[in-house]
Amino acid sequence: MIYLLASLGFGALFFMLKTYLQLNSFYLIAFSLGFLILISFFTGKFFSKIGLPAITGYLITGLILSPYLTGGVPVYVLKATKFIEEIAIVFIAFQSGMEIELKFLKQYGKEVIRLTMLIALFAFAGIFATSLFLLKKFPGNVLNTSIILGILLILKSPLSTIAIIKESNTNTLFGEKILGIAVFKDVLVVTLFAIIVPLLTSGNSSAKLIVYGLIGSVVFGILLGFLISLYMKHIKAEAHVLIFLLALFITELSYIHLDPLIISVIVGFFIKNFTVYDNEFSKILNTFSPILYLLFFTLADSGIDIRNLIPLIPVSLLFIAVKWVFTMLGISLGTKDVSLRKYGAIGLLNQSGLSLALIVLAEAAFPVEGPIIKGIVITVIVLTDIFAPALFKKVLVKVSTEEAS
Amino acid sequence: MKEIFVVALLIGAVSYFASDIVFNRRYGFVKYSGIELYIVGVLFSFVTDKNIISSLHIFVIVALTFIGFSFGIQFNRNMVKRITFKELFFAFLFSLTFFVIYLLLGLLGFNDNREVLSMILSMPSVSFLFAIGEKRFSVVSSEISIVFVLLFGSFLKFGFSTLVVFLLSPVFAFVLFFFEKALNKEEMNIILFALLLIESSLSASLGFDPLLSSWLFGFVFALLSNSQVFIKSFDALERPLFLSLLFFIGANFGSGFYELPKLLSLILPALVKPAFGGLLFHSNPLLFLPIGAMGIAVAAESNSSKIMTFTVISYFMFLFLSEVFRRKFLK
Repeated sequence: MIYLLASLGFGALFFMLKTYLQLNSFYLIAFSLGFLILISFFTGKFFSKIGLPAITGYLITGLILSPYLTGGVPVYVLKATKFIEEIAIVFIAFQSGMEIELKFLKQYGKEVIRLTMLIALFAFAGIFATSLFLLKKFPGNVLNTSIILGILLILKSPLSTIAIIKESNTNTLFGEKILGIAVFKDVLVVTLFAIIVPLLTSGNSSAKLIVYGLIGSVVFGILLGFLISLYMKHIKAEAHVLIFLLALFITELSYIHLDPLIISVIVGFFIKNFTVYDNEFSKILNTFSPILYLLFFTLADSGIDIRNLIPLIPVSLLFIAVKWVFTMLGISLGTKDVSLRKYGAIGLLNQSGLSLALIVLAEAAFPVEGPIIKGIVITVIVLTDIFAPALFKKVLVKVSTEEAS
Repeated sequence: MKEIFVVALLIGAVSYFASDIVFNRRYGFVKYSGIELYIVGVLFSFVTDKNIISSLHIFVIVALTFIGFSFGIQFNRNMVKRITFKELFFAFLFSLTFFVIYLLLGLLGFNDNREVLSMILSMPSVSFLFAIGEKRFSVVSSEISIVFVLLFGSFLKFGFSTLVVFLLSPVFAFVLFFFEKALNKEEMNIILFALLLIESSLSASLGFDPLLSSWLFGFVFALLSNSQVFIKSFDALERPLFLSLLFFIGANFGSGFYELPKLLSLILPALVKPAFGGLLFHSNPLLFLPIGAMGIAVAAESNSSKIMTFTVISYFMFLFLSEVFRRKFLK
């Protein structure tokens, strides 16, 4: 209760001081960030206390304080702090990569890849068909809308998956498999998106660029992983500063058509599986991750204009239901693992934050269909953000107890 | 904003990497001075947009709140209990005398920012005294005298809005203390980071000194909790932060340089300080010659190119002189 009171108290103080003080733009950033951290932190603690994931608390704080709902955090501050989200994504992707163990891949890789393909195929088919049927009356080519929506709604957030697994304090094979599927889904969707969007728009003019982007990102990731391990072997000093700088550098690589997310996952994967510095690297990530997780999940939803999403709630709920049913179908055909068959679809429900980045590309490629695609995907993200992390946490604890007994 | 953040982060990174080299070597007067970072800052000023450099001031204010807090938590319960009336009185006398002397001298030709110059010149270098193994009495009195100087300067510079500090900072300290038992170290760091961010923005908008307010924040927290939770992490931060300030001052090199002859005339009277310090603390006067790290912080806070250039030149010069004299006379 004390955490809720603290969150409400800081919230009230934030609004009061913001109205009373006329802060200039730079100081407004520091002021808003400071209060955002406090309010979000205590909301997260309150949620943890009542058995829900702290992330749900961060996301709800972001939604409430968004410029479009209560006007707590001004648009200017959100734009100015966009880079924090970019850095956070790199750090979280480092951790995603570190979660993929070669040993696990050797043992379960085939199963996870087969499952990912099946789930993706079924989920795509379900969403594609529903979209063809439901979105006929919306402007633009319904085929394009359905294909892009089908690809985007396959995604499951590896970032929140890691966060929930860490928060639930469980170590289950079920959790590892769900994370593996989430990561492979990301790789699959990024690849599919990179191939299909140019095909639907301008033919194959940028096919070379796509191949270059994918292969280049993997090569660059390996190279960076190797360089980090060299640094840790020979220099060691202030490695956390170097890694923070590197994260910032990786966010800039999209300008040369490399994918920061793939690079970061590969860096984490390389360090975990091909070097002996995984513990040190993990320690460094853990020093930054609490504050970065908090800021990322709070800022991610605070940029969403919830008012425009309300009319799309029914249709988005339908898409969530379709995704859930078809994911279950894919799982039941792809595995005999009891836990996965029972709870897998719940674990894979949370829509990925990566889709936010891909929406921007979709909007640019499909100016007519873009707005409806964006509206539905964001509504699905917001809705699943509210309940999916809590369900996943419950399921993890349940599976952990079942595995133990 | 990202551009500015990148530059600030690079400065921080360079300072971090450099602090190992600067503070771990064993030669010459430049030991501990950080002159290299100042020179890199000056070179940086030639290749960087002036707007970016001036925008870095927000990060300087945030850095100052960290420095102030770090200084404040050093005044923990054990240390405060051992402070004698004599130390307190001497610190008051020392700081007041020099603050007033430099203030009056400032009236001769430095009407703008004269209280800032008084603050900078009247602050002793505690780290220098500590590094050469000076007796506790001088070190503690010097530390307290810095607090007095901050108080005098703040009241003169910001007027009665300084009183806000005495209301706000204890509240921040109470918040931190209140959650201390319920939260772990990482969570405490998050709360502290947020509170310092808020404090830095409030100090800029309400018009009070970020150094004094965050010192009070740290001081009250240290008195309340007597916990060592932040000491280690702030120990690691202090040196890079100081070097970052030197870099920032170097990057503001420019107009200040041309006003230097006028400003340098203040250096001569500055030599009175060591004489008085030596007399008061029965120590070698030369030990009280250098300008302290807090003086550098006050200069960076002023965001005035001429004040910063003057301070840093005086800082290096006094450090050089005291090192030379120390080698010659204190063997």
